[in-house]
Amino acid sequence: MPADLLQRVIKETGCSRATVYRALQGSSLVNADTREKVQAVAKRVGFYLNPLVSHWMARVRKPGALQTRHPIVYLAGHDRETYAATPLLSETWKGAKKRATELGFSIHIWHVGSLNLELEKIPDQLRKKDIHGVIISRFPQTSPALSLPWEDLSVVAIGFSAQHPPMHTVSSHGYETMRHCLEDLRRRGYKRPGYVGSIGTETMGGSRHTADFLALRESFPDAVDIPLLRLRIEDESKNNKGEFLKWLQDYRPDVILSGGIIEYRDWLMEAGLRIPEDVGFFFLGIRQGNPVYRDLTGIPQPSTDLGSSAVDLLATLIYHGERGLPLQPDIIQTLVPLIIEGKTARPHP
Amino acid sequence: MSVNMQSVAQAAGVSIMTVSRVIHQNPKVAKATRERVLAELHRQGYRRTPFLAAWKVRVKGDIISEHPNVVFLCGYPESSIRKSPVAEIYQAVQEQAHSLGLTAGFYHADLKSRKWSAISKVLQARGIRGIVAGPFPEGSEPISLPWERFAVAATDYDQDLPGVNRAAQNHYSDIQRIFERLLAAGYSRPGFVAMQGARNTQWLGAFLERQWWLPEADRIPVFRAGTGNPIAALRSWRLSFRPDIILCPFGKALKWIDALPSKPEAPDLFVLDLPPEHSNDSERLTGMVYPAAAIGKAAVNLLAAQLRHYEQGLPSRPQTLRVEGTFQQAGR
Repeated sequence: MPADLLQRVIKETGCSRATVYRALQGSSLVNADTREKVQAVAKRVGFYLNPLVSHWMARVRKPGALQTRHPIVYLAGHDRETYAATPLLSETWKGAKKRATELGFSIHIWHVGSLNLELEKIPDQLRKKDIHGVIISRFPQTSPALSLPWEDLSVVAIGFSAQHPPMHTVSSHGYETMRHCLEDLRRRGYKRPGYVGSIGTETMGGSRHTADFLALRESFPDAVDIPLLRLRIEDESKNNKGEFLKWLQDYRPDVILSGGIIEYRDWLMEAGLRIPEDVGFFFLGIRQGNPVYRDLTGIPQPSTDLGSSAVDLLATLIYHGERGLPLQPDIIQTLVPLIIEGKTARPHP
Repeated sequence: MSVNMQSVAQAAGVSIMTVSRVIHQNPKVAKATRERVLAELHRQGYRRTPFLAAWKVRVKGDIISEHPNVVFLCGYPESSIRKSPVAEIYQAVQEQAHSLGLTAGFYHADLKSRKWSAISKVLQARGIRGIVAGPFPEGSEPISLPWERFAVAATDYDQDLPGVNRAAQNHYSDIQRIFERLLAAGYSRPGFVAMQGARNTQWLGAFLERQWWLPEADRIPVFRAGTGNPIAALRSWRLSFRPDIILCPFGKALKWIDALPSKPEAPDLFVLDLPPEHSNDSERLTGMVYPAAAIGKAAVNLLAAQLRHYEQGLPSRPQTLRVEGTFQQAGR
């Protein structure tokens, strides 16, 4: 019986009923030691709060008009003008907004760097507006570290960033996406996919899709001898083009996958190779609507889906009453299912 | 103006029951009708109240009951998984389901005696709403169920079920952490024993990616068992490349390494996918413990989110939730 279980928790911890409830909700009003003690005892005796009911009741009991819309904030790392001009950013936001609306949350975008919002004012604003759910979008690499009242917040980040402490994150380019791409290339008849990484756009610890490619290449027995090629594109003194063409000649991949720069395609053509007759080119991260990427076959830069998945993960945290920075962050990878049919890979038979 | 079901039903020319079914994503409503009602709901400004909607799914769906409404669907009988990582996943599934007000049971999908269509009928008759897919023997007939009736989440990559939400280990970030630890402990030439299977190849991919950042002279080719005697091949690989530590998956490969002659001095060993329960066999090993409990919990979270949002059927955006393993240090 739940009531007995509650009594046992009260007896064993010596805390009041209110403290037990607050501790189980992860409230910062209870000090951390007590919170942990109560949570441990509750787990042992098998007393659980129903997270949905307790959060709803907390709202009902709050003085003032009943807030039925749980407000969440989308922290944008760029100003309004940059958003308007950058589809990657604005589409991600649109995806988040659509999903939040579907689920019944009210979502607000706060542009950091815009007139009235400086970084150090954010904690204050969140408190004043009673906001406990935050999505942190991509921030410029140069922006200073965010300092938020983490204990009071459920937070999800979009993409990995060195500036933030480890937190629940949604990212793209997962294993499933790469599997989807390689299965598509297999259906087109390719047998020796080769992968070119670009140091500068990918760094140590930031190249999950390279690892996913290398894992999935195991199902192409004819391709396992092709070494991973990584070019230091930020270093102009390097003869990247020479290295690329030598690798191409030595190992003869029949299709090249790359998520780095599209100049690789130009190098292939300059070397007199016909695309896709002699070699295919499959690009991971096409910016749709941008003429530079026209005619490329590959997958789009993920954006809308990333925003939607961020809201899904945040909703789970809010429903379960999980606040604060996690010891073990969850990472959600979203599949990018759409393959853009350009002119750089053989058609399907 | 406030929205109500009656005004929406009238405007769309359907019954109130149909409006309710559309809101709750019941598969019985025809697609054209659903779209018409959705458009009308949108026009009149309908929005859900997130917490109430999420709570109601359980009251209305009779989810609060002692009977299981979620099953752990497994290709092995419950008696055969005891003391295995699968048992640990199932236990975590039960616990997390319970803490969210759901009840999880075990269902052995015995494909030798039943077809998927029969299994589907049983699950529906029992009022099962959600499925956590566990492991199936290699080569089993792919899981085939009417997905408009069930929400589903898979654990790891041990079943043939593409396009679903899934919880799995974060091999990529775990390899980063393993390298950090090994390099700090003074190792410089890690070797890798490559084995078949989705889990093993993800370890391999992450290893090869991370290995690339080592000085070229320390990048040892991975060991791949060919058709010949694997122990002899492993021995000559070890002699030619002299790894100072070998990363290898728990299981068959470990037996090969154990069978190697002790001279020259054996390199150290780091075992991947150590079973979570501390059996005599695994306690003496150093390595990373397979995060079975975290995977079970994460799968239930993915499933609960679907149920809460009334989403049955395969997701339009399949998500993979990645969780990290934990280190185990032991004297060997």
